Amino acid sequence: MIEVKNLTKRFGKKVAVDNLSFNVKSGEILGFLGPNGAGKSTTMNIITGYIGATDGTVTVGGRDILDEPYAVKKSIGYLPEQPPLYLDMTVDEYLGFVYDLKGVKLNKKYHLNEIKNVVGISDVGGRRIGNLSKGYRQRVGLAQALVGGPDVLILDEPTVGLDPNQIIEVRGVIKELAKNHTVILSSHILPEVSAVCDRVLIIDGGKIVAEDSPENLSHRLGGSGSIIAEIEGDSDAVTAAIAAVEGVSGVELADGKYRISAPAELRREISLAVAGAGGTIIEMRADEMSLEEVFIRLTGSGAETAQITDEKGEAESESDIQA
Amino acid sequence: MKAIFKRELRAYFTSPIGYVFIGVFAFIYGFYFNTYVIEGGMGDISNPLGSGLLILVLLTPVLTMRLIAEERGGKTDQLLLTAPVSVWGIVLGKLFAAMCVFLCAMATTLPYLAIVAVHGAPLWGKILGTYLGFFLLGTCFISIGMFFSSVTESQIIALVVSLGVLLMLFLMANLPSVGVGLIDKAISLVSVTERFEDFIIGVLKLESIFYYLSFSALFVFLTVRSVEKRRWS
Repeated sequence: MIEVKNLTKRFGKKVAVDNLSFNVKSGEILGFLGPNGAGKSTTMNIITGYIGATDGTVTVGGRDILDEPYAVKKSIGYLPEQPPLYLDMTVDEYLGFVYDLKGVKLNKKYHLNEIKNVVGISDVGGRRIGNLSKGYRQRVGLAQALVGGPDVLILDEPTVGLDPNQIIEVRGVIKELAKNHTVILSSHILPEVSAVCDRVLIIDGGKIVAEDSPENLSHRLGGSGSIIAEIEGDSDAVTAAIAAVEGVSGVELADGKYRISAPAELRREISLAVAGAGGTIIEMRADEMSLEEVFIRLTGSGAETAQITDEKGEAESESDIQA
Repeated sequence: MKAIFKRELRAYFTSPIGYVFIGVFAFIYGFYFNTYVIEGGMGDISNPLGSGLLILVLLTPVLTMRLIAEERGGKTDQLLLTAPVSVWGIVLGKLFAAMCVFLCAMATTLPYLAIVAVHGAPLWGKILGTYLGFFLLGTCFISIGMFFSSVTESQIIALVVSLGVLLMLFLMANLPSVGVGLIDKAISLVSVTERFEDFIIGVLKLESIFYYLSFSALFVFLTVRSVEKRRWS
């Protein structure tokens, strides 16, 4: 559906997007993950035609964004990082304007009412956008992206700045929309990506550093696996018993917790061995790397140098980072 | 373009800007009318409109400062530029909306025309010429102001810069001749207000009309280029 090839964008000497290539299949939800200034917003701005690329091509539905800009723009609904709202308009006036602007041919009243229902803003239609809370504004922004029934939705940090309840609500809306749209979603909130997306692209310094499903990513980078266990009982005996289990390559005791280097499948054997040594297992779990740790491992070293504060407002505030 | 035009026109009248522009214009024009026509006893309505040039110089930047700077400041340009409309459509929609407000301001002078028509013997040709010239000059000023609104995110900067430029153009008409042919020629070429004198005395020169239209077109073009350029730099 969306094909990005060798995309490069320079702002002066700064390279915001560096030879980026990826595909998005029809109906897929792709997550863009990366620290602030990694090039997420820039890439989205290029796909939607807001800014031009320095190099490379983008095709949406087989059409190049430069050759057929209007056809491509019609097929994309875009929610930028800051929703493009006119604060002096009411929600209904605004959506009516967007409808006219996009030259939509559907039945206006029916179409807009349907969208308002989907994102849950039917009850604020007559209110000025400037008076709405941030959560509602975000939803109006989302509604704006849906006007005209585009096939592709590009959502730049759709839940940023919302309170936890609103985040869950907006996420639910996105999941619902994903049933019949192709979605690209950017975020630096990791649970969001793992909750919503089929596939994750981790971007750092304008480059793709990893690309896989959320589960595979944490699995693949989780290493050979280890098990964390909290065990009551004589520590020497327990350690010896665990070490004796076939397949365990090491046992460490730190902060009252045992870190056992062994695949997660050995938990049953370890449990029996510990019981045999007179220990009681209080807690035991496979230590798979969370997406968060994957993220930090992949982007941690480059995060400092990748800070590109371009004029498109890549600079998100620290407080937005919630994990 | 129609959607942009409608929204823009609406925005002028949901914010104070449209009212301020029309109100201040009407007030000062009324003052001139009183001075020239009522007190001065002259039946020539072209005079107050001609003197109104300075009001136009001072007020047009208020009308145009927000046109594009506001979109960029509020990031709403992302909506416009990712919608299936051309940059030309966006810019022209905005230009026409500002011209509409300008026409509304001009319309406030119509009652005075009626007063003069009842109590005097107006020269309709001269009046028509003055109104046409005033409208063309206003269009020129609006397109200049719009261009400066497109080069900045700050409405204040757009206001100050376009005010400065318009004032300069206005004052150029009164510059004494430098004596160097080329410089004099260049000055007369950009002194937009000079050509307005022809309209006031009722001389309709095709050349002057064309001059104003092409001057406006140039700045509309520059505005489009300025918006486009930002997307590619």
